[in-house]
Amino acid sequence: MTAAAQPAGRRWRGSPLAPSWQKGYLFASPALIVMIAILIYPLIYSFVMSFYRWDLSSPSQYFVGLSNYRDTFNSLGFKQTLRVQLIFSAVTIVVEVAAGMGVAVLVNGRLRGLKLARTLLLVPPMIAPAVVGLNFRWLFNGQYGLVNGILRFLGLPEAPWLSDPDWALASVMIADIWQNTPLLVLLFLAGLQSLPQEPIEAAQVDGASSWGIFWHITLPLMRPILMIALMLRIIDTFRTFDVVWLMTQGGPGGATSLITVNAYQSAFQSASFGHASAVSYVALAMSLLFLALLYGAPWAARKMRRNS
Amino acid sequence: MGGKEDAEEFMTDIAQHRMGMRRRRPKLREGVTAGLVIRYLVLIGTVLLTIFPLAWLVLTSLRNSADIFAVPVRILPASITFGQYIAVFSQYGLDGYLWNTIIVSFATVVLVILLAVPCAYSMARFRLPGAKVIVSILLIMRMIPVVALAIPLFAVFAAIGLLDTLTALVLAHTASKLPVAIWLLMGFIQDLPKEIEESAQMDGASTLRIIVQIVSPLIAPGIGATAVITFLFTWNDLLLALTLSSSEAAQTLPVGLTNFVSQFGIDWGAMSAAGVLMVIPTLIFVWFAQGLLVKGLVSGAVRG
Amino acid sequence: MAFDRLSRRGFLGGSAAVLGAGTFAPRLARAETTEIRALLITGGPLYPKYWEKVVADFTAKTGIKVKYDLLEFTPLTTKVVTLGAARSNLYDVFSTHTAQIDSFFNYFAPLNEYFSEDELKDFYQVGVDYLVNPKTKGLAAIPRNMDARTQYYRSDVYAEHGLKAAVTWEDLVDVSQKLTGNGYYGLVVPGQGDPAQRTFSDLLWQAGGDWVDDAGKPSFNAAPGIEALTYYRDLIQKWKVVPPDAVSYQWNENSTQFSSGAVMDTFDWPGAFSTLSNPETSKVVGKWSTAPYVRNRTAISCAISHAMALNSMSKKKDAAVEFIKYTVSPEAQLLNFNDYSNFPSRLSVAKQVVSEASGAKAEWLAQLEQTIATGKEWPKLPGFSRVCTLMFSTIERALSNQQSPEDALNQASAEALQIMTQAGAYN
Repeated sequence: MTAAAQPAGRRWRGSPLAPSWQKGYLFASPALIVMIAILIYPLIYSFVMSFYRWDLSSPSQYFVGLSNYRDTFNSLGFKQTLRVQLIFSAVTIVVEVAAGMGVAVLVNGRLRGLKLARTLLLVPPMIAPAVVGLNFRWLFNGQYGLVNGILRFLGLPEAPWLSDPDWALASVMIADIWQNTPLLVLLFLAGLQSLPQEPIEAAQVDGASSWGIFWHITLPLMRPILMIALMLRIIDTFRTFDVVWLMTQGGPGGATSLITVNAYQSAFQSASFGHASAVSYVALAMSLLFLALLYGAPWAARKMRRNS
Repeated sequence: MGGKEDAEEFMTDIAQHRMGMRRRRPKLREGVTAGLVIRYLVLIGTVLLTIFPLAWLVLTSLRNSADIFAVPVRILPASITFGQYIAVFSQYGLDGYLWNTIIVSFATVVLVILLAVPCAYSMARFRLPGAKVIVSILLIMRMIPVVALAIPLFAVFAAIGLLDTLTALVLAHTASKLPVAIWLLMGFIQDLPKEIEESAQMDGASTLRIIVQIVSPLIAPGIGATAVITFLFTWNDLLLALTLSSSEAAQTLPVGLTNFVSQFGIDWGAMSAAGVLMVIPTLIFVWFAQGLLVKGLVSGAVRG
Repeated sequence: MAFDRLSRRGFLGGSAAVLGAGTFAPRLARAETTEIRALLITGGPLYPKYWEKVVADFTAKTGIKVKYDLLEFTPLTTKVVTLGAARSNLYDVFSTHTAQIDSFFNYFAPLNEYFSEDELKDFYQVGVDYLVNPKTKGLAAIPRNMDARTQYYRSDVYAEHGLKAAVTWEDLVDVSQKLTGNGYYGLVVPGQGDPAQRTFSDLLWQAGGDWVDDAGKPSFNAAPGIEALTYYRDLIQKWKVVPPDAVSYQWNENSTQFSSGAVMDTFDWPGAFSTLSNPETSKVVGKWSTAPYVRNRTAISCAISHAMALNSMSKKKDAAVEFIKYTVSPEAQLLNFNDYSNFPSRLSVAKQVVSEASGAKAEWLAQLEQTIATGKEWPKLPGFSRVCTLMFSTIERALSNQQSPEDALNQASAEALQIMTQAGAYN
């Protein structure tokens, strides 16, 4: 893990006998061509199209400027979508990171069965989100689902998991947390195991409490990994689609309508592709904004500390 | 960066204030403390929570419909039956989807590795102008929701007449998995000491030879991890397959799953069986490639 | 600005050339003119056999081969939407439906030149009318079977309790309340997406209201609309006579709740008649009867149709039209009715099946005919397909108590007006 300490920029030195960069591009070109043709070009096309009226009802597309974006932000459906997405992202990220860190810290060490546990923890992140969506839809089924069955058995009141707006949002959050926390546990475990042990051992010898050690030593040392975990989750949370789509289709009444769900519905139910493209790029902008906040905040905080 | 300084600050704090004044934790038995019990509970609890939804899926797939809709819910099946698995193939034609998914996934993995290794090598070792820009673009590609890609991709393939073909799916998946593959492999390549390549170069080996005969074996775990990750993400994809295919000629398993929502009833039994079948390759890969996977995901992530 | 009128075909066509379309080998050799491709609807495990037979008979008769793909209703709509957006000619023939036909006015070729006035006279007027593009008067699709809803109720349970099938809205609440309890519910309604809009639409007309006024402006938020949506919501939230997660139900749950015996009453399509009579798909065989849809101020509900359409980009229009004509031919419609109880779209065939039916079936057919005779559909004005999507979430929000019916409908009406104005409905 020492590689983590080196910033990426320092690696671009070529060997003194390196052939020309033309040769380099030659080897890179097949991959680059495929990506440009099939990935970049359609994305640019879709970006350009977000400024056009492109739906089934008009026989040809025409330029409409920012109209799609304006419609998006004015529509009530989107205001609800923004609210839902922000709640969803904030809650899942916080829970996943906190739970991931908590489990990793508690489980770190020479526990028997840890190796098996680590293998099992790899499973949820690798399972098709489509399967996860259907699986949880079945678990949360009001009448025949296992969760309500257990509640009934314990004499507790059943919950309207997928039919009440607030419960539905909770249900999709639970599914997302189930799928993503294990990966964070593994990530943090790997990080913990590469931490220098001397500070921790020294603190233990000096009689510090475990919570103290965790909060003041472990956590600060883990900050780089934490940042990475947060970055990964922020990027992915704005791309979540399959799980929510299969569990609730964004319902009931848009209560679980994430941005990607909104875009999908615009494209394939309203047949309004200009709007759908606009919504997708709003999602991208939001990811970038949150990432900027993530990396910008510590930098700003440090500046403030130095100035004070 | 703040980590180390804060830690040192703290240590001087406790050295000054709390010398030996912490009470010792009570021990229950020799070597067993309350802390240890809690830690095992957390471990077991986490493992149970992780596998219980899947276990339920498997259990549901082994029952018949009457048992599935039983009220109150029965945990264990009244009788184990493989009828759902049979129905999945005989009634819902899952073999077609399975075959398509296998072909698309394997073809994509092969293509991605063939394209990504040379590209990653040249970007890691050669002084390519604009390389930083390319890397930034690669990372941004990863951030865009698939739905932004699906529609124009559909239009482009329609215009070339490649719609509803496995070729289209393979191309689309290859292109979308390349950024991550290149990025991961770059990391592995950059970890290699340059001396081996340099000495091979001085011996007159061509770049191609270096890549194939020297570097590739050295980053075999990296290639393995990339291959597994590429395979799984292609295997699991729903949106691209949904958009680019409309018939059994090209539809994949996740699309097949949505077909279980028939107009007159969600066939939970068959759907669970299909879900289990879909998950089996995942489980196989995780079991055999777990070392690779963890290394790949984690080190790739750490390279931030 | 040069961007003002961008022709997408040109843009993509040019790009395809740049991509070196030549490097991609032509997918198929230039196909013979005697094979067409069709994207057809299916429902349930039994329906694929219908298409097998129809296509086999058609090929035997005409020598034209049909390569077809089957999709369920919702994925089918989605697929045709994508195909339409890309103006793809992958398929020559589509199964479609009155509900979304206005999305495809620019993609489906008008059938007026292929069906003479006389031929069209044999079809139910209401079925044909709502498939016509109001601006161009082009017939976008030809009806294959009529869809209208009747009441299916558990006559055995009703008899036990000395109850009769509900006639009015109040009856429905009354009867359902008496039969709700012990894990069973008196009624089921769908609550999501297109099924929710469909149910609201029926209730709206029964309350005496309509979607748009004479000027085409949205009027569904007037008093009848609010009454209808309030009633709909109350069935779920206030009187609780339907399963609590009805808010997430689509057509399949609506039907299975009844066919599994969990609810005592439902409103369902003609196909349910044969599904409910088949022990493979129904637990209540022989225990149910039919009755007309309930009424309020009026007895109006929907009369819509599954239809067949021709791709305007198709290169084999003549062969495609022959196939379309065969699928709506009397023989095909008769088979569809006899095996799957789908009500024919031809008056002649309807007359025939009515005369051949007896007992419960005859009663049910009479109820269906009555519904179709007074049936309606929502307007096919420009932009209305986007209003439909808006209505899905509007109705769902009211049904799940996130908004009052009045607020929800008023907001939707304002946004609908804007959408339709933007789409040019009032020029």
